[in-house]
Amino acid sequence: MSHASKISFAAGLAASLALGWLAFPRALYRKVDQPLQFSHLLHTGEKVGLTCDACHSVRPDGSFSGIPKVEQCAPCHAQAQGSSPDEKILVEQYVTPNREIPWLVYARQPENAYFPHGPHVNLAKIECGRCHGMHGSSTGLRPFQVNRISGYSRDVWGENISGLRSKPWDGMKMSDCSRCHAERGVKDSCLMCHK
Amino acid sequence: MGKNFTRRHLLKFVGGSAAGLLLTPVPWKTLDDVAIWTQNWSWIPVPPKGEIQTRFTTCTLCPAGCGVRARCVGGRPVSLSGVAGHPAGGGSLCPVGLGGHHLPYHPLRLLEPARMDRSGGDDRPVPVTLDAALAAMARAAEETRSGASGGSVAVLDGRPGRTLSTIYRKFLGGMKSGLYLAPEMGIGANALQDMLLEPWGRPGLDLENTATLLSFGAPILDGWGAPGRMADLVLGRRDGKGRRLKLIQVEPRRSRTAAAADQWVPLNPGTEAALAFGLAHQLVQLRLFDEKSVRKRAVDFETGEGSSYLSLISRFTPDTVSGITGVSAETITGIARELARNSPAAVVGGGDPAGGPLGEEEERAIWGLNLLLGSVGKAGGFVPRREAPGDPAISGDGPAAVSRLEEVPDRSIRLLILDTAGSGGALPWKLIDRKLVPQNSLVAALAPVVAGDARRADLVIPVPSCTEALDEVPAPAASPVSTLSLAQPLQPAPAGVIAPAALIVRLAAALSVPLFSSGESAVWADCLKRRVEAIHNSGRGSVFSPQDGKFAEMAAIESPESLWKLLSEGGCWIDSREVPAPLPHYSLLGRKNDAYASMASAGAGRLAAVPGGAQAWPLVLMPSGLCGALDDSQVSPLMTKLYQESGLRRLLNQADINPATARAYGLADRGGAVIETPSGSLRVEVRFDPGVMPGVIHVAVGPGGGGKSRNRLRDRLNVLTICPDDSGRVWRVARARVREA
Repeated sequence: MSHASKISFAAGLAASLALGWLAFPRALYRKVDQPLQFSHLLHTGEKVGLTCDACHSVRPDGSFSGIPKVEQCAPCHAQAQGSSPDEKILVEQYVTPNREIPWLVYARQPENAYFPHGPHVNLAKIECGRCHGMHGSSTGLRPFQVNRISGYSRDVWGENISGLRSKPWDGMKMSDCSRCHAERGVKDSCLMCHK
Repeated sequence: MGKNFTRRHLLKFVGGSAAGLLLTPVPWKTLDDVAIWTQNWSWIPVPPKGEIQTRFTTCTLCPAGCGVRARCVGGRPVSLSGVAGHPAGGGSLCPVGLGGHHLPYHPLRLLEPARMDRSGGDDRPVPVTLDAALAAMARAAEETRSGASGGSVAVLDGRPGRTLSTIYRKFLGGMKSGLYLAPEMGIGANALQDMLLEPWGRPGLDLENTATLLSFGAPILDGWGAPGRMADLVLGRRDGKGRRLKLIQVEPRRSRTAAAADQWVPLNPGTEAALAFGLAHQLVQLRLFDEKSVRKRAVDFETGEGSSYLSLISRFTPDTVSGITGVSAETITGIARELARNSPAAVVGGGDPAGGPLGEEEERAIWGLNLLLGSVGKAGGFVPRREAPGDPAISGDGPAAVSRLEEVPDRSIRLLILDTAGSGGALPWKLIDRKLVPQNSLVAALAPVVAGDARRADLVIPVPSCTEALDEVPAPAASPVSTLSLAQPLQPAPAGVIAPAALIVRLAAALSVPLFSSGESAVWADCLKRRVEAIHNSGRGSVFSPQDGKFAEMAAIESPESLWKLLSEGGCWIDSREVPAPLPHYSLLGRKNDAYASMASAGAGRLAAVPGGAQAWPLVLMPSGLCGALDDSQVSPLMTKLYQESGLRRLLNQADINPATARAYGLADRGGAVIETPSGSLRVEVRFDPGVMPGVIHVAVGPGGGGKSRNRLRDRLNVLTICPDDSGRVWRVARARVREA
């Protein structure tokens, strides 16, 4: 191959590598801000002292309460407690008119995947942070990155476009679930998660 | 570089890009995302997420009346399951019931009345207004009443015993010649009525106390009764002491029931009467029968004449019966001994839901066995059932009596109203068709979907689906005590549907037929409340609560309103048991004039003599199907794993044949074949099944398995169209032949 040919090939290679690793992730995801900011650290800290299950609990029937409804915020935030602009939004736009906050859920799985919190939390005693990270100590909500093709959060694939995991909660793909199941000796079957 | 940048360099660039692309996440991530996207189209219905409310109701998809626990989100049911300890359901639901909450979304769902247009070879529902449909029905009914045209008004009620059934009968009583038709279901109670010389009450089977059950083809574990209750009785521990019902299953095929029974007795198709007579012969010969009671009560047991019961069964020695049925003499004697030894024993026959009832003679032969065993009128056997109080507002001049379809004169029905959804059984359409006034009849089907009988009708009136309507569920036909539970709407019904009771009220008003006592409400809920009040006033029975699994005696329920509340929350009222009335005198042969001759003839086998005989028609055709799943109307379009894909259950026109028989006729597994009978021919898909008796073909009547709109005329052709109909009552066996398609 002539020198020019090699350069052409290499240029194509470099261009596609750059596109694929740098431009593609930026293009694939679209950032959407949450309706308002929320500090988990403030609510779980010493001042308020809530635990995860105060707002995100497994009900007695085994279903998961998910993101709390605005009626759960109302008892404390019927009036603004502080001066934060986000709390003002909470009170005026959601609590007072009793309108649900359209939170964008980072961990929302595709509809064709069935995930019950009950067996994982109550039976397997898995800590919330194992899958959801140190959410409880976050001071704000990062923008929701929605996949333009699938419509789901980047959190499901993982922050790293390569799919490599640096932390246990970095990704919620089937392979992540299977790996944890294997570690704990849980036998998988298709119908267990795809009803 | 520019001057030297040739096409070759461009191709190298592209090649490099392609190679590089493979080293990036682009192809793999895109593939993954597209896979997720294509599995989650926006139009795929998804159950809502949210807090789960649990509600209790009753399944109405067949007469069993299983209790239902519904998990609801956002006011809609998302999953159904059984209710532990439910007296009717036994804690489980069948596959049909489990998918009940899918049925409102059935692709064949009808949301407005329709006239069925059959021009062009398709069954096409053409929308009409409810007023127009009612006007057509009223016109037809008025013509019969005024004499402008001949014929009767008839209602075919697939679930008799409801308040709605009484309303039908009251309406028909106001017609000049109204016919109330109810199919024979359950344990052949009509045959016993024909044998008793005095009224005794409708018999129910006290199965909880039965020790041995001999079944002549009744699908005990496959839809004969509530699946949870039957599985508990036959397969499980029923009283904590390890006792369970011993089941002897007599049928040609190794069905699921036969496979799970304690003993499977394969017999030649259509020879049930012979086997019953053979067993009776041995019970008498070996003095194993209730001789004192029989000699006291049976008027024709031993008369000294040649036409007594004893003279009949004396012809059916074990060796003779063995030659007819294919069951060995030792087996026959063994069964007789077992029935006598492990008592109380009960004998039932019912046939396949698609194959229909046994013949009258077979049913009388079976009742004869029960009478010989002393099972009639005793715990663990058949006891008379007190009927539950009805709505006292439906009174006045008598409602129409119950008629049997086979007794209705041919070409005599001008207006036929079909309410057969949830009956659990199938009826060959030609048996109905021959009763209609030719070219001037109107058939109106009350159905939520255009499937099954509704496809045959001229008009289809949409009614609420099973999870959308307030309904009542009386005791199943074989229940030893009356029961009543309510089905509550779990979700709102669509705007265009009408409850059957409301339709009949409007039709009666148009014809000036009074249905209720003066001043009484015609609102459906009020009718049911009146019935519940009558039950409360009777002071009888107790009520099961699904919330805690406990029973409350009626005396402890303060008021009719409290009882209504309990039933509305999923409760089930069960009548108290009373000491059975003494069994009256009876005729073992039946009271018809030709009883002896017809019984003897049945003993020779049910397969009709046809021109050419067995040589021309060497095989036996038997329709088959499962209760509640005989057509598309009640099979969830989303339960694809059970019917539409897995092959676990048979679909319309799939035929099970013994492999040796199939190969003898050059048939291949999953290949096509044509089955011919003297009544017609049918194309089927062959499935090999070594559990099928050689020389026998079982053809499924449904469901169709599509889930999509299937309006093609040919899809209405099921095996019942080529089964014999000479007696108008028995179509379960037919002489047939088969060839490769």
